[in-house]
Amino acid sequence: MRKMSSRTWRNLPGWSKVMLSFAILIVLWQLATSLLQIPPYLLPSPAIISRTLVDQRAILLKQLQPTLLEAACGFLLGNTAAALLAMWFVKSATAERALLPLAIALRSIPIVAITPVITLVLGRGYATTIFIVGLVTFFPTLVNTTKGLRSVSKDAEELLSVLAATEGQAFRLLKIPSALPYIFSAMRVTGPGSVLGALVSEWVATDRGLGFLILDSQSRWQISLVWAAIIVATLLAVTAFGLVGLAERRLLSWHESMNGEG
Amino acid sequence: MALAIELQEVQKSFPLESGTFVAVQEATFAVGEKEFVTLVGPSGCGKSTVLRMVAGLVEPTRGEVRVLGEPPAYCRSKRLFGFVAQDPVLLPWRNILGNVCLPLEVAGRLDKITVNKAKGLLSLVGLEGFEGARPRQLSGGMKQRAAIARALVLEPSILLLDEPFGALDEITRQKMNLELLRIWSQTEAAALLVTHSIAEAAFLSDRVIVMSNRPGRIKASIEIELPRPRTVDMLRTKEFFDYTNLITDALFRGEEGAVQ
Repeated sequence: MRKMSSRTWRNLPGWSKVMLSFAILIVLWQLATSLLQIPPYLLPSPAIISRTLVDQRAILLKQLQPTLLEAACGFLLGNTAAALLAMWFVKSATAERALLPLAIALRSIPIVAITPVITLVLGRGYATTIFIVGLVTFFPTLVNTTKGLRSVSKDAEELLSVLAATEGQAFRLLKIPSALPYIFSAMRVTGPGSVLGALVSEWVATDRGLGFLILDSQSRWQISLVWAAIIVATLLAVTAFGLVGLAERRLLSWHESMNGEG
Repeated sequence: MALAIELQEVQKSFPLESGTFVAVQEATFAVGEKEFVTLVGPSGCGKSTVLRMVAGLVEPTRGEVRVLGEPPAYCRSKRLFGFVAQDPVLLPWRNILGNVCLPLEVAGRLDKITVNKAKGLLSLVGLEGFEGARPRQLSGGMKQRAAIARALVLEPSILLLDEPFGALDEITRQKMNLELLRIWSQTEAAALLVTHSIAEAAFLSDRVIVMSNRPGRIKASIEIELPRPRTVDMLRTKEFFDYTNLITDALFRGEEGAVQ
């Protein structure tokens, strides 16, 4: 009997297990709030939150847009800047020695601390939030891309120099494809990270977006709206993670990590 | 006969903390047109460095290297070298045909005619039907065949082989040596091979250059006058055995424990 049920469990597709554990969590949450009579302003029940999600969908969608825009633009900008700098690092050791400590220093400053300073310079518009998101995505991509571009074997570089390949060809044909797995593992962190960066900078610097909505509804004691906004933000981060995974599977089908047979 | 490769008193030393390390000392030899010459010697005797100086990847400290009468860098820019190393370095994101076409792409000569030529080379090396396969789907020997096809796709005048079958098992290696000779005989290229296998050197070459260790120095140059095409049966002849003995004697001459 036990053997039978464990086999059934194993044969379930992966997503159904995730759904099941979520369902269990929601049921327990619902039971806890109703049985222990937790007041909704402390922890609203899933039923209340889902009602809020439906009722307040207009405001949630409206506030989702700036967050989405900031996260996407910042992600693109941060990754592009980091990839370009990484290519420069690989070409010039001097550039790396001069600029990497600076990048590390920039990384060490908490976003909450640096956001007000950046707001002073860039104002309370999109420039600040996009810059912050860019900053969040920048460092992991910089480090991983540099490592990835250097992961090329000496033999492969020799092959291209025997063929008198130009530096551009070496990057295009060899180094950038070799770096892609490294770049993707950075993006799996910075994808959801860019949503977090957008939320925090909205929280600190602006009056729009899901980050602002969380802060604003908290100050009005609309706790169920806080939770609804958190759920929308989480879904956005999960989607970012999923999109990175999807792109990775499409682009890196050749890579060992994508092939069970090795 | 014109010379494909010519080395005149070539020396290569590397600066070390404890002084200068002489990797290659006064190497003088030549490879004729369409000749197959092998450098044989113990690990670390500088034979790979010699090969890299011929390819223009390493600059000699002293002396002169000429390839087809020109400096190696010039020949490299004209893409006259085909290079096969121990690691086949096939790009995993390209299929086999894509890997063989890589030199064409670098040279800006990728078109219908050259791609068909690349396909022809794949059948020459025995990889017909594997055009669309990924490198990871191929065995070590097949990967090396693809690397040979890639080395030949630009019709090089000089084929440089740096222990190309060093990572393969003995049986596959023997087969690949035969294949290499068959493929090479259909090209116009002179070949310079680096190996530490005495039998391999004797079997493949027109001439074997024996190198010694520390500093890397040429000890002997032995003509192998076995007829071509070479066959497996030759491996059992007295002549072949005599040649391997000659090479062995040259390798160990003056070394500790050698019979004088």
